[in-house]
Order: sequence, then structure tokens, then C-alpha cells
Amino acid sequence: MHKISVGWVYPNLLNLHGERGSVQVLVEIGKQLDIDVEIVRIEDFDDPIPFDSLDLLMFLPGEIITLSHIIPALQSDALHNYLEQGGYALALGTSGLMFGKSILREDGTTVSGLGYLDMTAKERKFVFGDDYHIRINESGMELAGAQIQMADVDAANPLATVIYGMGNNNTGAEGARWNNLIYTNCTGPLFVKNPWFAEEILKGIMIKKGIQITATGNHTIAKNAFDATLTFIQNKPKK
Amino acid sequence: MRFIITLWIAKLTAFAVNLLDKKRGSNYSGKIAVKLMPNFIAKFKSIDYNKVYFISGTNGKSTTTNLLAHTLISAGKRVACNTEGANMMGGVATTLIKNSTLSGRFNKEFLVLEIDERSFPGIVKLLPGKNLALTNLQKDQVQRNGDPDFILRKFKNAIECGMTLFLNNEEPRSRSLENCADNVVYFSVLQNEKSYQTDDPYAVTLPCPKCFHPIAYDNYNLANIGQFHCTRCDYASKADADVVISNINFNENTFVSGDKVWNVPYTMPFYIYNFAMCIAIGRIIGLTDAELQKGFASFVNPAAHMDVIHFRGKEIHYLRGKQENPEALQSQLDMIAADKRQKAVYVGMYQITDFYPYYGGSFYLFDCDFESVVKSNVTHYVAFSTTVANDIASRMILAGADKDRVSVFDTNHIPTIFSELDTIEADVIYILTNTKHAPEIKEYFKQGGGVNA
Repeated sequence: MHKISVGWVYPNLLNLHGERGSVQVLVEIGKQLDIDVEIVRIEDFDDPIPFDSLDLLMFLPGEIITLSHIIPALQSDALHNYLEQGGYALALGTSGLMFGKSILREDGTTVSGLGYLDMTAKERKFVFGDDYHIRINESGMELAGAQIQMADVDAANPLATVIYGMGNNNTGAEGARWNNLIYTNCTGPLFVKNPWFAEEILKGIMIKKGIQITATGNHTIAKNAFDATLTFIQNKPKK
Repeated sequence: MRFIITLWIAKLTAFAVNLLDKKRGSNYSGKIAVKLMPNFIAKFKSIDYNKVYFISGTNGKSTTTNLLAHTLISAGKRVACNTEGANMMGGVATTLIKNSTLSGRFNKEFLVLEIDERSFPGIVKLLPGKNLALTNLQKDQVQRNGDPDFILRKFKNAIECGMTLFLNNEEPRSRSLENCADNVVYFSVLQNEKSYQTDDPYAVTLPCPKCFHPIAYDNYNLANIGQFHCTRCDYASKADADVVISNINFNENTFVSGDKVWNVPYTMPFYIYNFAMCIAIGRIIGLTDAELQKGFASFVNPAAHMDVIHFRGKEIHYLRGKQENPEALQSQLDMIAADKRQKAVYVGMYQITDFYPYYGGSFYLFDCDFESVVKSNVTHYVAFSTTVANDIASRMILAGADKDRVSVFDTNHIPTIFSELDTIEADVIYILTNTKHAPEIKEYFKQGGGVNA
């Protein structure tokens, strides 16, 4: 059996929107692909992240106020090298803002980001929440879920195009990507609603290790859920 | 003069609505008044702001508001209260309209108001009550509340230092507001036989609201409520809260607070916090323990969330909850998990159509612990409701449910949902839905000969 180590970064601090389900489902999808997915919890921002032994970093959504305390802890050569060398990192929802250049808070203060993604964020006065449907630019893969947008984002290299929803800032752009650092606003939990995306990432990690995985997961229930979400979106009444 | 005219229009509207359709619009007259005059609630005379009690928070505010109002009334006080649960500006206005003279003079002594968290800043600005009691601040209705800090900031910015705060000693987020006011009264429920710990490798807590390192719980009384401490700073549950409830006897419906044993009609863990808060407020008001006890003993929760129905040889436990709120849902799941008899579990979560945009998200399911339900002797699962059914099934299976034992009904058609009921092996059935769909489901069982226990 092959092995992938997933670093679940600060699970108690980045704890929103049931996205722990995405971590759980990685293990289940791994089983279907004959990959032993090991979850390594990194509890606190004082704890060292063992970049050398990790294949994927998971940053789940968190409160913006918490991000400003986490960013200084992530500023390191080790993270830089990990991402520079094509290490996989997934930043969901607000966590993605940490990897941009800056976050302008509602109170007028600015939080400097890590700068890996060419983007800036401005905290919204009102929350935007809705269902979500996007198409990933590189692969054409479609994802569905929910979007809880706490900030308007201006990103130079979007991950995807919005089919339904607000996206980064109502311009049709969704998320951002640099190397294998992926930021998306799509939650749901993301991988529960879209296990085919998790499968693609796990297979990408294995290719990076020189191994081609040919098995395919069974996503019947998730596909039914996906179709139900799209039907709901298509029939939604306007205000 | 503008106020008086608005008040009369509103009173006339309230009278007409009451005459035409009592069910319609518990806050209709208030909404009209606020539309005509946005600062309407600021204009009433003779309100003693020291006797205004705002009850807010994510879970438990309706029950606590009703309990407090009932207890005050049973002690002979004259109380105005938005017991119907209309907890935004229009609902507050309606309460004042109903409890004032034609000249706008408030004609009660106490004003007890359940307040929606997001509405608190706007309401307190116009109606500067001096008392705020917070049940807890947790994840809820994220598509408009975002995250708990979004709500916490609203309270931080609106609380005046001269207010008295009543805070839950075991809920880290709301308790962190203690620095916003000069007077704080803490209420607490000690570890009891229903408290628990977790070894779930996927369990999450929250950041410390003071230093942002992780919070750890020594035990949980409810989801994310229990004796806690920060893993870094000295923020922790206080050892000397002002009101402490201990020695809960869940069989005999009693607990100990102070030097007395209290008899109460409900002892589910979330109710104990409602009683604790009411004791804390009651003592500040000057009620005696005997008066509080008398009120508690006769309290009937108009919004009770559970029925037991006997139907075609099955014992059906029908639980309702706020579906967009993981902690409230967890309380219901804990009740199911605590029953170790062989059973079937029906779960129906729905699209949210209370406001625009309509919304089908269901990630609150994944903040909940379904695993303990799966381990509690469940022979069959049914996931139902249009749009959300497959997401519910995903949650059940991810928690370890055998997918061959999970039926999925992507419909709200009740006869279809319960079409397998007669063939299900288990005689004990748990049904969990949101509150909104309860009338039609209860009616289905009633029409089919079901009898409430």
C-alpha cells in the first residue's frame, strides 16, 4: 500500500464550516485508491511543522482575527522551500487569505500576508453566503458546495471560473493557485461534496512521488448530492 | 407627535391582525412602526432601563427568555416579554406596542427581551437596557453570521461598560466579553454524569479568544461547553462562579445550587444552563430562592423539542432542532446516542428558505459527532429531504454507518419518507428534523393513528 502524510495545520484554530470532514474523507478516498493516508495534527502555531515528511498541508477556514496570529508563525524558509518545490497545500475559505499579499480589515487595519499568492483581500462588512458551483480552469473539473465569503478578493491567478455564486469578488474569478498551493472558497465540506477533487490531488501527490495510481474511487452518493445541489441552484427563486 | 401617530397606527394594525388572523405575523405591527419611524422603540416613556433584560446568544435564548418571564410573573411581577420569539427590531417594537398606553407609556415593570445576536447593536442603541445575558456564542447560520468572531465583535462594540453581563462560565467565547463591562455575573454547571470527554482524532475546539492558542476542555457538558482552559494563557473556567449548579439527578429532575435542592421540570443538559442563568438574574433582581423554585416548577416550555409517539407498534422519538447550528444538532444526536436499544434513525435536514438567497449547504452536519450515534446499536438509517438527503447520507457513512443500511429519500413527501417504517426491524425509531417541518410530520403520525406518550 502506498502512503501519503497529510499535515492538518492548527485544527482547533482553523475550525470552521465542518471542513474537518474533508480531512476525514481523504482517509476514506485513500483506502479506495490503495493509499494509506496518514493525518498528522499540528496543534499550535508554536509547534514545528515537519515539512520534510508531509505530502499535503491542509489549512481549513478560520476566523480572520485568528489568521493574523498564525501568519507570523508560518513565515519560514521551510514553508517557502516546501511550496517552491511543488509541495501540495490546500487553503480553504478564509485561510487562503493568509497566502496573499494583504488583508484589509473592516476596522481599517492591514494584515500582511505570506505573499505566495498574487492577491489582496478586503474584509466585507456583511457576510455573503450561498451555494456555489465552479469550474477549475486547468482541468475543467466542476465542483459544487457552499461559499461563505468574509472578504472580497482580487487575485491575479484564479483557480477556477464561477458558474454560480459570488466567487472572489463578483468578477467570475474563484480562488487562486501558485504551483501546488491551492486556495478555494468552495466549502461543503469541499472533499465530501467533491471527492473527485480529493482523488485528483491524492493522485497528483503520488505522481510527484513517481507512482501512477489507476484505481478510481466510488463517488456515487457524492455525485447524487452534486446533482441535487445543481438542480437546487437552477431552480432557485430570485429575491 | 409623529411617535404618537405611529403608535396608534401600530396599535390599530395589531388589533386588526389579531381580529383577522391570530396566527399571522407576531411582529407585524412592530415592523410597520419601525418602517414609519426607524427610532420608534426609543420613544416610549417610563421604561426603567435597569429593569430591561436582554437575553441573547446562539442556543437557548428562547427557552431562557420564556423561563425568566414566567418566573418573574409567577413571583407577582409585571412583565413584558417577546415570548413569541420575534427577536429583531420589529419584534421588540411589537412587544412595546402591546405593553404601552395610547400615550406611549410603558405599563409594565420589567422588560425581558430575547434578542437576535446581529440585531443587538441596533436595538441597544435605541433601547439602552442595562442587563445582557448571553447563553453562548457558537457557529450558527453561517451564510449570514459568517463565523462566531463576526458576532462576538458586534457585542464587543455595543456593550456599554455600565451594563451588567450574565455570562456562561463554561463557554469560552461569550465569557471573553467579561472585560467589556464593569459588572459580570457568572453562572456555571459542574461536571455531571452526562458530561463527557472525547478521544475523536477529528475533534476540534476553538482558538482562545484572548491569546489565540487552542482551548482545551477538561470535560464537556454540551458541545463546546464545559470546564475549559487555554493551553497557553491563564484563561479558564472560574472556580468560583456566582451561581453554580451541581449534583444533577437526571432521574429525579433535581439539582443543587447554593445550599438547596431544586426541583425542575426538565434536566436535559442544555436546560440546566437555562436554569443557571435564570437563578443568576433572579438573584440580582431580588427574587428569593423560593420564588425562583416556584417559577421553575411550573414552567412548561412552549417550544419543547421532543415528542414520543406510539405508532403501529413503534416507539417513535421525534426530535427537532435548529439545523444550521452544530451544537444544537449535537444535543439531539447525543440523546439518540445515549439510547443503546436497537433502533432506526431518520435524519431530515432541509434547504434554508427563510431568507434570500435560499441555501442548500449542510456542512454543520460535519461539525457534529455522528460516530457516537453509529456506535449506539442502529440497525437502519434513513436520510431524507429534497437537495440535502445525499449529504446526510454522506455524513452517516463517513461516521461508519454501513452504506447498505442507509436509505436515501431525496424528497419532502412524508409518506415516501416513512414508507419503510413497517418493515424496519427495530421497534425504537428516532426522527430528527428541523423545527419548521414538525407540524406536518406530527400531523402525519396523528392521522395514521399515532398517540403521544
